[in-house]
This record gives sequence, C-alpha cells and structure tokens, in this order.
Amino acid sequence: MIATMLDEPPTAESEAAVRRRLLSGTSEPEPPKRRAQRRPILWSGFGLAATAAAVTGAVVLSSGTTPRAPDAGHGPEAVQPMSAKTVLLTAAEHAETAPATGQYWHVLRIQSNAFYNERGDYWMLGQQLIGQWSQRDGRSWTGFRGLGAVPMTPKDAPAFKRAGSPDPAPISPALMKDTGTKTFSVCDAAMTFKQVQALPATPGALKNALKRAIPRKHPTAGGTADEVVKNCVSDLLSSVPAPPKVRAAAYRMLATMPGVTSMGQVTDERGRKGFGLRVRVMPEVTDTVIIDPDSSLVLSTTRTLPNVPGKVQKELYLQADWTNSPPSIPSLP
Amino acid sequence: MTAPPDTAPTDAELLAASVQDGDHFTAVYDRYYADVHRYVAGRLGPQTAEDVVAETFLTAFRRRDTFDPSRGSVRPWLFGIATNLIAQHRRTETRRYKMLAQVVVERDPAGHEDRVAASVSAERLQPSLARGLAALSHKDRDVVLLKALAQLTHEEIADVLGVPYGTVGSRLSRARKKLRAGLPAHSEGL
Repeated sequence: MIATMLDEPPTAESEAAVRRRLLSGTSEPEPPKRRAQRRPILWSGFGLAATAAAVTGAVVLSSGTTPRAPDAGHGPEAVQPMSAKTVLLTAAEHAETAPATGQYWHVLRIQSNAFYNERGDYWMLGQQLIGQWSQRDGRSWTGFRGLGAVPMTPKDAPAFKRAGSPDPAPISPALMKDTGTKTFSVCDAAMTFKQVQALPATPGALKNALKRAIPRKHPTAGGTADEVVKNCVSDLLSSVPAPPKVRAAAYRMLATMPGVTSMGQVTDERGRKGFGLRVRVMPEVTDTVIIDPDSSLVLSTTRTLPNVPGKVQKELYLQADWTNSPPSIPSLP
Repeated sequence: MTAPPDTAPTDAELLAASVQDGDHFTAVYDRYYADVHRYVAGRLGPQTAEDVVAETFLTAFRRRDTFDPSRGSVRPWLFGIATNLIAQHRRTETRRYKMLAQVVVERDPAGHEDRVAASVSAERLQPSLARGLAALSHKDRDVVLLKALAQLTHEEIADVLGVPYGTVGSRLSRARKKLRAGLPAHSEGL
C-alpha cells in the first residue's frame, strides 16, 4: 500500500542524468568535497505552508498604487491607505456580525502549487479547485477538480509552452468522504467542531491557545511563538468555522502583532477588491493575506519565498460559509 | 544454473575490484540504480531524488574502500547512505506526504490491470495514509520505508540504522499501529 502510493518508477531521463553525474564525479581523481547541488525544488505549495489549507490560485495582485478604474463611491482622496490596524479592526467588527447557519461549513478554493521543471528550467503553477464540506459532527467531504497549469511568471511562459503546457500533477475530478472527526485544521492542529467553537474570544487568550495547539515540530511553524501564531492565524480566519467573536479576536490579535503591514487596497484576479496585508511569518518568508474588511472574509493568501521567482503558494478563496447544499465535485463558479 | 561462478561476481567482489579500477563501480550502479531510485524518489519525489540518488552513489564510490563485507551486504549499505542523505531533506519529505494527502495523483491509467486495481484502492486510502506518514517521527519513518520501499529485512534495517534488532520490530509495529489508526475502517494491506 505504501509502496504503491509512493511509487516513482525510474525514467530513462533521470537514470541518464544520474549516470552522467556519477561518471563525472567518479572520474575525478580526487573528488573535491562538494555538496549535492541545491536547487530550489518545490514539490508543492503545501509543504511550505504546510498550512492545511495551503495556498492558491493564480492571484494577480496589483498594489494600491497601480492605476485602475476609479471606485464608484470614492473620490481619489479615498486612495489614502488604511493602516493594517484599522483594516483588521474593521474586519473584526464585521466578523462579529457574520451569520452562522446551514448544514455544512463549506470552503471552496483554488489552490496553486509551484513546480519547477529542471529539464526545461521553468516554473509553473499547478492549479486545483478544492471544495470542502464539513458537518458539525465532524463528517466531512472533499471534492477536487484539476484546473491545469499556468506558467508562474511571463518569463516562464515560452519554456512552459515549448514543453507542451504540461500539468505537473494531473488529478481526476473526485469527491471523497474524509475520515476522522477532527476535520478542522489550523496549521495542522486538527480540531473538532467543538474545539473550534471553544477557542477563546479575546486576543491574548486566543494567542496562547494557538501556541498550545500548534505542533511544536511543525515544519513551517517559524522560529518564535509569535511567528507560529502569525503563520497559522490565516488558516483560522480562512478555513475554519470559528465563531464570529473568535474571528474578531483573531483579527484584533493580528492587529497588535509586529511584522504585519498594510499594502493598501488591492484587486485580485477575479476583480475582487480587498485590503492587502503583509505578514512576515519567518525571517525570509512573507505571506500576503488579502481580506475583505466588509465581510471579514479572507480572499486569498499567498506566500513568497527566497529563491523562487513568484508567489509560490496561493490560495484563492471563492467561498467560505455555511450552506445547505450537499457535497459534490466542485466546478468553477 | 550452470553458469560458472566467475561470470557473476558478487556485489562485494565488484566493490573490492572497483577500489583498484573505478570502472567496476558502474556494475554496482547498474545493479542498484532502480532500487535506490524507487526508495529515494518514493520519499522525496522524483525531482529531489535525482540529486540525492547521484550523491548516494558518489558517496558510496568515495567510501568504497571502507566497505566491510563481513558487516553486511552492498544493497543495505547503499540504502544506509541514501537514508542519511534523505535526512537532510526532511522538509521536502514531509512536504511530499502532505501534498499526497491533499492531492490524489492519477497514476498510470494505461498500465497493467492489476496495477490499476492497486492504484484505485491506493487512491482511496492515499490521503489518510499520506497524512499518517507525514505525522510519523523520522525514526519511525526510516524503519517503515526501509521496509516498504527498500524491502530490507529487520536485520538489515537494524544494521543500516545502527539500532538493536528488537528496536526495529517495536518501531515498525508502533508505526503501523499509528498508520492504521488513521485509515478508514476495514482497509487492508498496509
């Protein structure tokens, strides 16, 4: 079973590549001490974020300074960017009034994972539409639909096209019933619906609860407890049916943390306006979280890493709310 | 059957010969490339595997004069080197399992029927199994994967990891228990 899942049969190309390196390595009379060549290889965005709700889909951000059509209701003077704190506190207020009725907690998102093709030396993003439906008793379903791949940046486009626009991780559309009852996860700390509901509703207590809940050995948990919390709080806000007061506390908590800065108003690829926040989760890792302060929803999260020429992990949230519509293989709305 | 023994030198003989003449090492590579690749690529994915497999054989080549046939055979020795190198890529490994836990990769739909049947049931269990692997400690993972992917015996695993024979058994059963606990009821074949 494990062997079948992990099976990666050797290909003639990889065998030849390894043989070449072996031959050049073994023919040196005194092989110099050298390290295996490190390349920025990413299996997927998941890992990096390891946020269970990883990241995703083809979000093109334009910062507040990019020219765009004037807003209907605001004059140019409204361009003055709100501070991160103001945005978060506004979102917090609206979070408190969000409705919470329906049979299923439903999150629909486009997830993009970065892939690097060594042979063609180009980056691409494999995209999937992922829908999750979770009931209060812990039963949950996940539906997938592959959305193909896109070049990561315009620079990658020619090589990507030459290679035949490959999908690095094709998946067949599917709907699966998940197992287990701890179906709500915040930075891999799986929680039951009850546990999520019991999260503290004050910023200080919430921060402590998150510090306790998140596995210490989490690979991307960050170096300090604050980093861990910053890294994980976007999961809490984007993917989990936390009570409005807890969401509000999460926003207030984020507002007080160092390393959270405003990017002002931004527009995502789907034309949705929101406020961008840069959240430094580790010294070299910065997440961009776009929120809609009016609905208090997270529109997208993206992660930038050193040595990767683009937004590596992207999670574009299309929907995150309670619904009575039953689980199904998702389609792009 | 009737082939004279000298036409098929043992691994240890090849390795010994390669100390004088490096070219003999190619035969060792030919024998074990595929096995080592499956083991490393299974844990790290095909991209990182290229680096690590090459480094495994290069390391083996550099240390070929220190290989002691009285302490075990060549195959597990190579897996030991590979396992040490894999340890430098733990994040990549965990990342791979997490990816597998989320994404069901369609495999080889045009393959043999039995392979397809195996894949179908693997697809169903993949998310839970992959999550389980991601959650194992690296010590447990080494044992499970040296068994499942490299198909080493308990004894060989004990040698490779430098732990007592009994420890291999206890880590293996502990890990299997953990992995089974995460699977849906009535699944078999772990």
